[in-house]
Amino acid sequence: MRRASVLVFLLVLMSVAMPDAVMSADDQPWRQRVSAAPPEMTSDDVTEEIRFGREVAARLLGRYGLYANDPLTKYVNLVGQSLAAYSNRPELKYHFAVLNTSEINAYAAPGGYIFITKGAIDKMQDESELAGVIAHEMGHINGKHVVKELDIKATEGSAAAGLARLIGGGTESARIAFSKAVDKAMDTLFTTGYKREDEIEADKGSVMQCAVAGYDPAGLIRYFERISAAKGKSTEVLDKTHPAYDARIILLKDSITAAAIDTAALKTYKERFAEAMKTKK
Amino acid sequence: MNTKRIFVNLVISLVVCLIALQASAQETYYVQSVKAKVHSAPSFKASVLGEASRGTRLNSIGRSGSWLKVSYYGKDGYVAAILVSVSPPMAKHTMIKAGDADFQQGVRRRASTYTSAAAARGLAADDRRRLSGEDRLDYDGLERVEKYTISDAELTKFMEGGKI
Repeated sequence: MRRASVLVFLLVLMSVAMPDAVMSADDQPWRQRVSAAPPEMTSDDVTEEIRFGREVAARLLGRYGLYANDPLTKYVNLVGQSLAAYSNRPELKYHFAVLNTSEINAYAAPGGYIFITKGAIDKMQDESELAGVIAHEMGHINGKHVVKELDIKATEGSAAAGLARLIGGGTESARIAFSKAVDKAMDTLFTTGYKREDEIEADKGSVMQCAVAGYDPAGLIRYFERISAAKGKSTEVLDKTHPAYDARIILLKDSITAAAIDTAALKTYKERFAEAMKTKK
Repeated sequence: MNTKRIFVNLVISLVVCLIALQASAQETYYVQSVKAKVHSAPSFKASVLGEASRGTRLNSIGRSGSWLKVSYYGKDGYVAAILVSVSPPMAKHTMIKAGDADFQQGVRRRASTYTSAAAARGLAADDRRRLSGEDRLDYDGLERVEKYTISDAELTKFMEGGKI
């Protein structure tokens, strides 16, 4: 009996000292993400990620073409780099560009490549909306969503290692494996979409990313509300690959409340956005 | 094995678990962003205790939603979890240089390589045409994107709310 009491005392002590140790994983989503994170990336893994991302980025540019408008490109880069200063992946150099299409969407390729369509920008009304979309895409890169899904790393078994062989010669099978991995990444962007939990993580990340950079995170909500009404071919891919807007809007509002963000105290930069839009052709 | 020994082993195991869990609870995090504000409470409305710069080590003592509770100069503080990581910040990885001999060789090879990969995957002629059209590769555009830079001075001015 005495021994049993000692055991019970120790168990109680553990639960008091370490409440998280006895909580279910569902109670601690943030913790879940950390524990689910892959082992620490090596410098070679990062290089492989960038090389893989370049291939995806080249395909995105091949599909839509670059929107050649220097003032707008500069503006999008200024907004993007303002957010990148608060990224948790300082090892990446982020690149931002506008795709020449009326389709409404934005894309992220591993390694730091972020694209936003001209059609999406046309639907925006202030800078915080643009920041929200960019921050969401940055969330996919920072969360390593494609990297984890396709197991992109520098080790021999990885599909992405095929690029090294592709460049340096290598076998046909390695080239096919690499090419197939890029195909899968494109399928994710255009057909199947990211995993639902990855989209949720990117939306939640967008709220915090915008807030720490000084942008009103409700900008993304306003943008969603506006484009949810724009049904048709321009949003076909976006609708097919993302969760419903109403669910995302609720999640964003909850995230803003949970983080106690005073959106009124943060910036929308409506005038600066309007000034930048004058440069559009 | 007698009952006493089992009991002693159980107690030792629990104590070891307790120590290990306690140690893991105080994980070290590193600031990854240029700077990270440390708030007095898990809220953007809370007062700011200070700003930790990139690479600063922070000992976590808990968490609250999207916030990490840290020990900051003897006080409890909160930092946005998206700004920190358990690993020290890595050095910036530069892009593959367009003038790199290996890279150029790779680009030259890639068109034929891609076609052969598509054929080897058993794609029909229509699929191959789709790949060469919809999924064509634009490396010139990519190079333009990668070469685009803005100066630190311009970015700083912009972040401070200045005009474009």
